Amino acid sequence: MLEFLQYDFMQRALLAAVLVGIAAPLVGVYIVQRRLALIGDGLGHVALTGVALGLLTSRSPVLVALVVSILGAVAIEVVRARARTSADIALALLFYGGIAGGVVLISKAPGGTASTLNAYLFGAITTTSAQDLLVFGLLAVVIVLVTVGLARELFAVANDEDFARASGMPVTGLNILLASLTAATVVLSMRVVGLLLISALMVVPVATATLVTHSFRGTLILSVAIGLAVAVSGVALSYSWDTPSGGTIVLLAIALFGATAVGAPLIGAARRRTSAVRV
Amino acid sequence: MTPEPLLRLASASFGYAGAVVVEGLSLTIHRGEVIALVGPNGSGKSTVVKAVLGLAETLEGTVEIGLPRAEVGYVPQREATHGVVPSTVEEFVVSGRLARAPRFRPLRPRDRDAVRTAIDTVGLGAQHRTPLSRLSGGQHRRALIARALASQPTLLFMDEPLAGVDAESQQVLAATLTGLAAEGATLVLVLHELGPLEPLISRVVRLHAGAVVYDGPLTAQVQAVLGEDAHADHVHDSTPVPAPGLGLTG
Repeated sequence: MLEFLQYDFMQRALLAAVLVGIAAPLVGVYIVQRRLALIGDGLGHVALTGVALGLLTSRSPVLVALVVSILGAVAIEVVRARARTSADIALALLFYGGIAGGVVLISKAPGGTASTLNAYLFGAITTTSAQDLLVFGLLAVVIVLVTVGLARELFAVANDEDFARASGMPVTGLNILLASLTAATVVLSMRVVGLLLISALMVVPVATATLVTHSFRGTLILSVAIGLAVAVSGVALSYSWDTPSGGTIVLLAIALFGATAVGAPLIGAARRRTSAVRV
Repeated sequence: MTPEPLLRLASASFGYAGAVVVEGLSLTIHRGEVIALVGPNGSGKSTVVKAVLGLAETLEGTVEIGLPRAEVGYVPQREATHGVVPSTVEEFVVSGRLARAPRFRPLRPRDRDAVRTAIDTVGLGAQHRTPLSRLSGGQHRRALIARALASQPTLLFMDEPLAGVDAESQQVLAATLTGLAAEGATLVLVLHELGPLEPLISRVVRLHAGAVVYDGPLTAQVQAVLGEDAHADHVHDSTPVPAPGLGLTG
């Protein structure tokens, strides 16, 4: 059953899944709290232009995508902070421009075929190289250190930006930091989940955890556990079922959300009945 | 001896997106004062507080705060935010301590003590692990106050602390603020009605249409005008109130 572990590409894919499963919910919990659940989608669009630029210039698509998506993340935060009334239109232009630029540039790149595009948009486990894994590992370490080390500050800003600003906290800096971490997570996840589905791995595990938790800390821990479980099992199942890894992981995550949404109230009601009988 | 000035506004105009809400305001607040900032809806009370805290624009003039930012507390008007992700009362109140706490390190014992004391002060000690979403409206307000108290502020701004608060929470609030005032804190309270906070007030600043129309002690005449303001706001809700006949000037 575990014969896929003998293949190097599967070992790399599973390691990448572990990194994504941990990192995506760690960033996701703050963007969900800020009600910016779709920012990952937008940065995924922007990252595609970076991938295309990398392919076109024969540089590492992963590294170029990282640079471009971080620039996009900073631009989003600057637009959000300075042009509140037209922010949604400016963001839409950035996102559409990102995916349109990616599609056009990839068509001109050597080896820029539809299958190359699909691999980046929806994830392809066989494409994770050893060099990619090194970059992903470094990104994951940075994401974990910053999101855990600055957990209280990021929570304070995500929970009440005005209060944090009034307290003298560096709100704009923390927002740019979080947006940059989101961009890093998008790049880290693009081989495993794909640029169009990465947002799901940032949001769905967090949404599932909130159905049963009562604290921010509890949500943080449970959503990482869920992210890890669905990412690793999704990669393994995608090998067995010969399905795209990104779609498989996301469907698993959504199935778990559905089961929790149905099951949690039933378990809660059963517990209340048990408590009532004991009394 | 004149008390030390903590906040000085000189010919200051405040607003949002370039639009003026408060114009040419000059005001000095001294250490130990308990100020009621009053006036009808739309008079610019909340805008003044937000501008001092950097949440609204200072369009003209100067704002000088004679304190480190970490010593300035703020209780906003709305209920405590509890977004999609749940958080406990304690987690929420800790966010009020961060301006004084070290980054990338665990909270120090004195930070934890300040958080615990703030929660106990507002009477939420038994609920410190309760999710915010399970608190009543009055308890929410108390959680907001605890968050502001966690930084042990020298100057505390509170925007409509009595709005939508039950009688029990109003009494807890009055006791809390009495204690703070006794310890020498400076309080600026944006109020529609003085309620149980009346004995605390050392100075009333009344705004009307973005300008100060009274600055002085609380007198029977001022109280009568406040009653009219409250009645007019109740009748007209957010409709701007015509200039009242009582042109109180300090």
